[in-house]
Amino acid sequence: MTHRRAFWLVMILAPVLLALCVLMGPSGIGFPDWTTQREILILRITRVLAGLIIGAALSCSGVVLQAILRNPLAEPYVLGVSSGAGLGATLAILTGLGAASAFALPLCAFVMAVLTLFLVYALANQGSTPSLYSLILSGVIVSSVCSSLIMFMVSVAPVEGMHSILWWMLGNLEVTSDALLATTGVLALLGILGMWLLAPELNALTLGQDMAHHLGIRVKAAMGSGLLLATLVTAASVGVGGLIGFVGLIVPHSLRSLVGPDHRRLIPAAALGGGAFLAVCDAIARTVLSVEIPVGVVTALIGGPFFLVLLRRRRRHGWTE
Amino acid sequence: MNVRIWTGCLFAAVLAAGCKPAGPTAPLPTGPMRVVSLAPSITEIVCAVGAADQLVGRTTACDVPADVVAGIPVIGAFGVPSIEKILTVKPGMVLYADMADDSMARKLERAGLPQTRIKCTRLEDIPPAIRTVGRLVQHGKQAEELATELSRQIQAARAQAAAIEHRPGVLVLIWNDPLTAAGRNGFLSDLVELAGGYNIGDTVNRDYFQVSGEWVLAQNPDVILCFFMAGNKAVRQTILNQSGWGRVKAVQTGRVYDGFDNNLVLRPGPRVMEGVAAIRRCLAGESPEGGSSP
Repeated sequence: MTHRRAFWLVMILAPVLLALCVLMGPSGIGFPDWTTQREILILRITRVLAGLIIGAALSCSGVVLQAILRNPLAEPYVLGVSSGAGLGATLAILTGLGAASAFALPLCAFVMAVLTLFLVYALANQGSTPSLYSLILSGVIVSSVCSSLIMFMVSVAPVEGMHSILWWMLGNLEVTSDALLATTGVLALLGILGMWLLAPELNALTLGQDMAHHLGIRVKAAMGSGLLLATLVTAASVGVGGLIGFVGLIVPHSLRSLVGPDHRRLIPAAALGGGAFLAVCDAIARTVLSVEIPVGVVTALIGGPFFLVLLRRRRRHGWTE
Repeated sequence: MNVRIWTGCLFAAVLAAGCKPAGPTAPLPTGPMRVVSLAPSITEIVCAVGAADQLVGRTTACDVPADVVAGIPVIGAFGVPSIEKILTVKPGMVLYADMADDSMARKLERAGLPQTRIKCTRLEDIPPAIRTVGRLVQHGKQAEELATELSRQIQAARAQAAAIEHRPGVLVLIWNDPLTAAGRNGFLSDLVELAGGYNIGDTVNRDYFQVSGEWVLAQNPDVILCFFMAGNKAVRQTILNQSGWGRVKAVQTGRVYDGFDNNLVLRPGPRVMEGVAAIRRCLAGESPEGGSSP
């Protein structure tokens, strides 16, 4: 199958999968009746939308970070965004701010995540273009400092606070407010559009900073805007859905091997494919057992083996057809 | 461009094809208030005021009264209900005590579910909680009688406890790994006081806290109560063999008790006085169920 065909397959299949997710839920499989079960239908549709938005944001952010950092292990959380957001959420929960409004906790998580990126970038940046290694290393270090602070606060927190933090960290796509979901959706859409516009620069950056520079790319500006966009959409999605792992690592790799490494195609495919993947995982998480499974568990259990199959196939056939 | 139009058509087709109702459709609610309980203590209260037939949803943790809850649909785990399942039973009111997560109340509200938080964490919360639940389920009279009787029993127990000259110091353990004890802000502190002891964890301004061996040695409790792993016979022995605890009074005298019905002592519900009675028996040197010392 050519990359081009695979691309259109993803673009067609993803909306179909999203629609199928509406048919699944803990109260039974099937389309909820419009007159008697309207609330259930609305509930499911908003959840699928949340899956689409968060999955798309995390996947695209993973694509961009893998391109900029030229590291196959790069994912949306590699620069400490998740721990920063976690710290923000923990502070919001423990100070009682989170109970004040539906926007308070996501906003705290968002602000702390963005601050974390600036801190990481400032630590790695010594005048010229920051080296990839110092970016990743300062990301890891800032991330562990934030995690320790979270652990510390959890250890001295009252029981209820501890539970709230734990549940937040497990991730959940049940939205608390429609306005919040809409805001996140707009933010994610703008961010992903921005990343898509950056696609030619990202293609050049995958060849290395020097090569990109000789191709006429303004490396520092391209890297800076890519990192910022990736962080913004990740922070927005983490604020709403908590820490959902694996999507931002597996979807970019899987789709790259399907639709090819050209970011002009990869980014839209990652947006729809990642969104559909997370929505399907969430549909499974809320349907299979009588008690809902954390969606991050499902993404790892389904995504992991799928990714390994792709990896083996790629080793046998190489990247290109 | 063509492909995009196709995508849209497919999406619409799949939506339209699946047009059949999901699960049984409940009739529109009429008559007595249909309630969903999201906490075992609230389930007990609803049944105790005689409104068991109005209970249309419960959590996996709601296990008492066993014969009643067996026939009631489960809508999720304690603290993490499934909003969709709550919607399918069409309740007139969702009653909850504590949630695993702050945002749950907001999620219920967003789904358009009428909800009431029943504050029920301390001993003195229980009679008002019974009255509130009773009012909501239109069983106000029974609730009033139950609440008055419970208040009377609490008063009587308090008077009895106040007459005791030397209150034994009690260490209340709710978990063994890490060793976790009940502090001043918890329900267990109230129960121990009512049973005629004093909770040595009262010096700590928390619901529950992790204890060190050193702290236990310094506090030197007369009695240790173990409210964890109810079915496990080895709990008491583990505490007695805890290294370095040989000098603790409770260990020396063997006044370490396990085998409680943990739902009685850990659940702020209408059966609370039975829990107090079990603790009182231990403080008097009997086993929790009555009979001679272990």
